Amino acid sequence: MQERRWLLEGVERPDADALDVYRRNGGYDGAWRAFDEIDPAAVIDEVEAAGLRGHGGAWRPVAARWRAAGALGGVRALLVDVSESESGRFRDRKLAERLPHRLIEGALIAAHALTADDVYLCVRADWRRARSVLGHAMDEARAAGWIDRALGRSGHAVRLHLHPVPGPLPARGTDQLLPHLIECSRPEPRASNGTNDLPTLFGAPVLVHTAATLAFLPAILARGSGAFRELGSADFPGTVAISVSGHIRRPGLFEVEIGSGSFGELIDTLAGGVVDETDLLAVFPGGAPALDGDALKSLQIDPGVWSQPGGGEHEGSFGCGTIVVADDAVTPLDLAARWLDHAAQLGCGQCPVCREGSVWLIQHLQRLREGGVTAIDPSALQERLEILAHGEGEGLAICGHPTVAAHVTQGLLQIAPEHVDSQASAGATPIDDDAPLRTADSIHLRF
Amino acid sequence: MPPMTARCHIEIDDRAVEATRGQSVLEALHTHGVVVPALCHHPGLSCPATCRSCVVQVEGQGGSRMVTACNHTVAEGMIIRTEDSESRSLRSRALAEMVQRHAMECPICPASGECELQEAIGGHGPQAQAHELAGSSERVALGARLHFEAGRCIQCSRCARFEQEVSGAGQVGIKGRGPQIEITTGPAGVDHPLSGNLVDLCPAGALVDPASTVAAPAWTLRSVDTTCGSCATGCAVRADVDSAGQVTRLRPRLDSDVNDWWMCDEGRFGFDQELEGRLRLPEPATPDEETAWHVAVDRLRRRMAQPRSAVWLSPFLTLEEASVLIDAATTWGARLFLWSVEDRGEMSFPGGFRISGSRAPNTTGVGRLREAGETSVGTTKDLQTAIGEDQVGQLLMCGGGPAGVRPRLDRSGVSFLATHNLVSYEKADLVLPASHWLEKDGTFVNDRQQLRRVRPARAPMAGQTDLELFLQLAGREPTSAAEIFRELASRHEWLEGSSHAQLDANQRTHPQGVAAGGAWVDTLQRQGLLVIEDPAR
Repeated sequence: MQERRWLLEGVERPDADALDVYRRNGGYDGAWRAFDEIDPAAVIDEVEAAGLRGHGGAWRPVAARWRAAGALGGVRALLVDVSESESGRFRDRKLAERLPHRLIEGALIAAHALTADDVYLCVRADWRRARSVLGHAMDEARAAGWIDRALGRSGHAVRLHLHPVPGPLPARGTDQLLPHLIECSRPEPRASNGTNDLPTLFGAPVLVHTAATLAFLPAILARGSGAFRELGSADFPGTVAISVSGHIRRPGLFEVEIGSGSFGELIDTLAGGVVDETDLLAVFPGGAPALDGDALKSLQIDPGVWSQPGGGEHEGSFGCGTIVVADDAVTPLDLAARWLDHAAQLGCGQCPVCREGSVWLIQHLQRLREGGVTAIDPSALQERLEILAHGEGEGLAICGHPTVAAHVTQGLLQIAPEHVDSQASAGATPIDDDAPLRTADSIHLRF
Repeated sequence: MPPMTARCHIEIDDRAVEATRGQSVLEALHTHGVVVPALCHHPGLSCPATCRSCVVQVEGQGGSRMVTACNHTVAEGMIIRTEDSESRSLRSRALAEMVQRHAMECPICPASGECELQEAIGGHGPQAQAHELAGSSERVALGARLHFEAGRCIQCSRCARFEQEVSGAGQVGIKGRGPQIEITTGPAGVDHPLSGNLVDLCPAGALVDPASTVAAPAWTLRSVDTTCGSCATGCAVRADVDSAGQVTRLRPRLDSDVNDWWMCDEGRFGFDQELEGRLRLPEPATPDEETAWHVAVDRLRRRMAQPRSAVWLSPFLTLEEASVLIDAATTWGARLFLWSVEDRGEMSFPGGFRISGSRAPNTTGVGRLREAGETSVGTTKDLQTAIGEDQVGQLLMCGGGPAGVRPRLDRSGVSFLATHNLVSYEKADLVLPASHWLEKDGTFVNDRQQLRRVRPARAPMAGQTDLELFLQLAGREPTSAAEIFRELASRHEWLEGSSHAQLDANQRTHPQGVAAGGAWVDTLQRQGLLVIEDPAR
């Protein structure tokens, strides 16, 4: 398995974040083409021809979203989500820290296609490096006349705003959340009322895109949609950048062609295999049920084979391909309890099914871990997890956050059912909570 | 607009009905008598759709979906199902989650019996649930008449939205995230003039009035719909009366022309100081002794029939009372003056609610009678001038306002002074007890020229009402306020077409269905689990 870099192209260059380095290697050529040579409609056509989809997790076709927004009267601003809060995902942060100009150029192109005059880069306030690098890159781009000034033949000036947002955020619903955060209100997604209305910022309709999605645009415009389309599958063309962390020899961000291999190959070759020659116990991708090592190894890195978003055979959501690897020294029950606790803290607290359901589950997972007379029936646990998992689909939750929380926990419990059962029966050894849990505590990146 | 566009045809539980376009599914359900719980939704506030307890099945163009009824609007041909097992079980699930950490202390909770959560659980909740008793939390005083029981809070956010959207005070908010989300206030607590509404809003008994914890339970109360007489806004209110005939509390009643769902704290909490106050006059009195009503009436009529008499009308009188008193004054040949209560400046709030600058409920009404009457009516200043010029020998001074609103008048030179007041606070030759507005039957006209109906919530403390007194003074046969209003309506063009019966018919009921002893109490009564002795019977 090999890396194919579009998103991360040039990441290894010294001073990859500097404007002159980026420019020397073809940076801003795509933006120039969009602003000077073709009109916004042609940009949308080009993106449609490339078949680019959103890399935030929902994998919606980008050009279709732009057209739908146009049909609803257009948008006034573009919000760029540089606030990824999913456990183990560090793609957008690395992109902002290492290739800020690619992100800025992508945002410029998208704003031009949408004829929007404002772009808000919503960066997590706690990412100091990403904020300072992006800020510096914006200064450079401004001085060079790329932003805040009429550009090319179109004469379209796009204003860029760097907006720190508090994080981490709930795992889903960022479309609704980010405008709230710019307005400085609570990080709460809004309930859908069944209409296709666009999210609004101070009353003006806006569109929200994940940073990585937009960072594909410069290369698509510069190299042409054909080159992008050649990669990947018919439904999911191009490449995908996978964040790999946990008990792995070479944790990092790997950009591979969609459908070019399995997660097993990625772990064994690019990521260097599981640490200390131990066995792979579990992998939990963002959104999908956690998987035991064997099931995952054979699974293709392709959203199309998952039930979400591709309608494929594998039950679960591909998300954005993030995986956290756990070796067999980890107890799935411990991991499940800690994961759920983490997920509960990330929730906004609006819907009872998520807020109260996770409290119940955390309490009872804890009892299960401790065993003894307070142990509970694991089937009750499964029942509650089902309710949590189906929250959004059945109208009991506003966003998909509880689904993510439940899926990962469900998967972890299924990996070792005999362990869960033995804990449920009386007499199990209480677990020492002070003992360090061997999970992804430090992630070393190759950059 | 043709009527076709305003209405649409929908189906609710296999029943074809008509709904108004643009109406929410929840409103359509309520209109047609179908009850689904809606705990975060309040018609007077924005709709976050977070409690998810109003989930129903909707079949429309996009196929069948489970949606929250509160934030989806009806569409032509929509098929709504509330009784199918799936939506029933989802609602039950949402409610079960909500009471997970709710302190189950209904037996000691003052909201019990009119609690929306209790009603929702009773009608839509799980049949049985293993409930691990959540410990009762410490009660926190947020204000003099507002306590918070965190253990009962279900995080519906109604109070926080009220503070943003209606009162604008922002003194209650939400802090934290996920399971730690909680309702909180600043160090100063809640002290804005609309804070009492928070108790009405709370669907779970978490925000309570400390006085209600020692009051009679909701299901023993009898409600009377009336109008608040504490200022010229004229909020529609409901007075709850306990089995001893005491008014225990006032709550606002929906009137979208006047007060929406709200009322101010002064009106809500201010009444009982005046109504049940220890200083209230029990019967007529002279400086030396208490006298019987008929003695006092005879004496007053005799004195007022002498020359140089004057009657000072009060803006706390109803239209009916003022008109009878004007008639009496006319027969005596007495001059008429009207007390104008000092304006304290109107207060208005972001949600549109306002507290009138005038503390007297009927300045406009009595003023309009004055304009329309044949006899001229002077102002307070005119009266002062007349006294100064020694033109007033006998004066009947009507008050009837709260102790804080007293007339200022220099009466040196008046040889006979009769006062008509709730409490006696000045020397007079004859003191007549007045009725409180909660004891009155009649009408006020608020400062926006709207007719407001006042109905008696309790028997007059002094044994007879102001109207009965004034009829005796005028030498008329006893008659009802409705009859006097009919006479007024025939004499005054601006009252044409109005009647007590018509005003009563327009009185709207509370959309939340929280009449004293709510639906839950009805259910228990129907099942024979609760027997309430009717004190009136």
